[in-house]
Amino acid sequence: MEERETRWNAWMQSALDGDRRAYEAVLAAIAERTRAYAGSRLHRSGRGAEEVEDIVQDVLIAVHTKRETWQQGRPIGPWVDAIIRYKTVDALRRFGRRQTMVSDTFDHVAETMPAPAQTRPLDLVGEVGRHLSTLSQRERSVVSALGIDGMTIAACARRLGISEGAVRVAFHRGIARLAKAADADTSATVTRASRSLASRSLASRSLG
Amino acid sequence: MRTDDLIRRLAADLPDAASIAERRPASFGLVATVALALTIPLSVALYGPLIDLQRADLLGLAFWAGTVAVAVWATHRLARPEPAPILTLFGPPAILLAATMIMAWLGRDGGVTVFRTDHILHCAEIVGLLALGPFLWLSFVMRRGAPASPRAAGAMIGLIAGAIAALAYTLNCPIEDALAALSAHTVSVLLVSAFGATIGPSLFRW
Repeated sequence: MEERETRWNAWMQSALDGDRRAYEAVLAAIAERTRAYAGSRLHRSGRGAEEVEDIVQDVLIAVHTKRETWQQGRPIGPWVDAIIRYKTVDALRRFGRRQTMVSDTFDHVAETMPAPAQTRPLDLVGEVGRHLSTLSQRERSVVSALGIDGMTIAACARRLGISEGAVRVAFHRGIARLAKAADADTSATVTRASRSLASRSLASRSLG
Repeated sequence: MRTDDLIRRLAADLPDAASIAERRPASFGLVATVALALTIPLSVALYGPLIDLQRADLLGLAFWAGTVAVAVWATHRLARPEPAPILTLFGPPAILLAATMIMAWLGRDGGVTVFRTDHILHCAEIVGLLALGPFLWLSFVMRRGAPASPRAAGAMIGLIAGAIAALAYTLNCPIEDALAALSAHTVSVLLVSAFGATIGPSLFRW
């Protein structure tokens, strides 16, 4: 345990000095630890590997966006564990809420409706597209360009004729609205698809 | 996206050391000091000139200054995701609770009516109004943190904001008896803290 602490501490220290390889190493180690912790917690509640991986990615994004809350010189283990615990509990609460919402809403029609076919990727795109339509024109353009087309912020700014700062603002607002819309949706599949797009997009863009 | 790809993208997004230093959140102590420096003139502008300071009023000022200091220390710990010591979570509210009991005891022995409803209603309105600015500024700093307990973080931010407002308003409060004023301010601060605890989970979720 001490060896891990020393190793992670050195990696994180180097990462904060700009060493990307060290950062990759510590993120990979954190992913592994999250997988073990979240896996055991979710296994008990009957969840699968996909949800575990969602939590792993949420944790990595949180570590990345909140890395300045780690105080250099303090142990990194408790800091990482606290983030893993927070995100896992948050996810379990989210899963539980969705499950309740779906059962509360659709229990009485379950017997008369045919079982849904397995969701195809095309359906997910369609549902995410429906959420996208709730965004403003600028937010929709920016979220589509960055999150779906994979454009860089600079390229998106050039294409839309706005500043990179304006792209960041529109993107963050759009993602927040998208996540909120997804949370309000009663379909677990849709929710997961939209949140997935939101969190992946958030992570894949420059967040500085 | 696969997790390995995400790790590579996050690593590619890592800025240099200087940029990371720039992202460091502002100190709660600094923000609280600036908030106090702005709230005192605001209180004077809204509620008239400063009253004559009596010995007991100085005690009130010292009490609120101490509360701000302890709550700021606790907030620094609560803004990080690591588990906070019990003292951090319950220390500042415990101080207020103890003060409340002492005030009730002193008031009964000294023949002063403490916790009068009209005093509380009067002070709660003003302290709540004056606490609004400090609450917003401190919340802005807290949102850049990662509190393991957003509710506790909200309560503590409310406590600091309320104590700043009470400190400022102690200089203007027309309630003549210092103990009666302090008791009304304590309830007002606790109400602001309760407000913070209520909205903390949605405000400081990360």
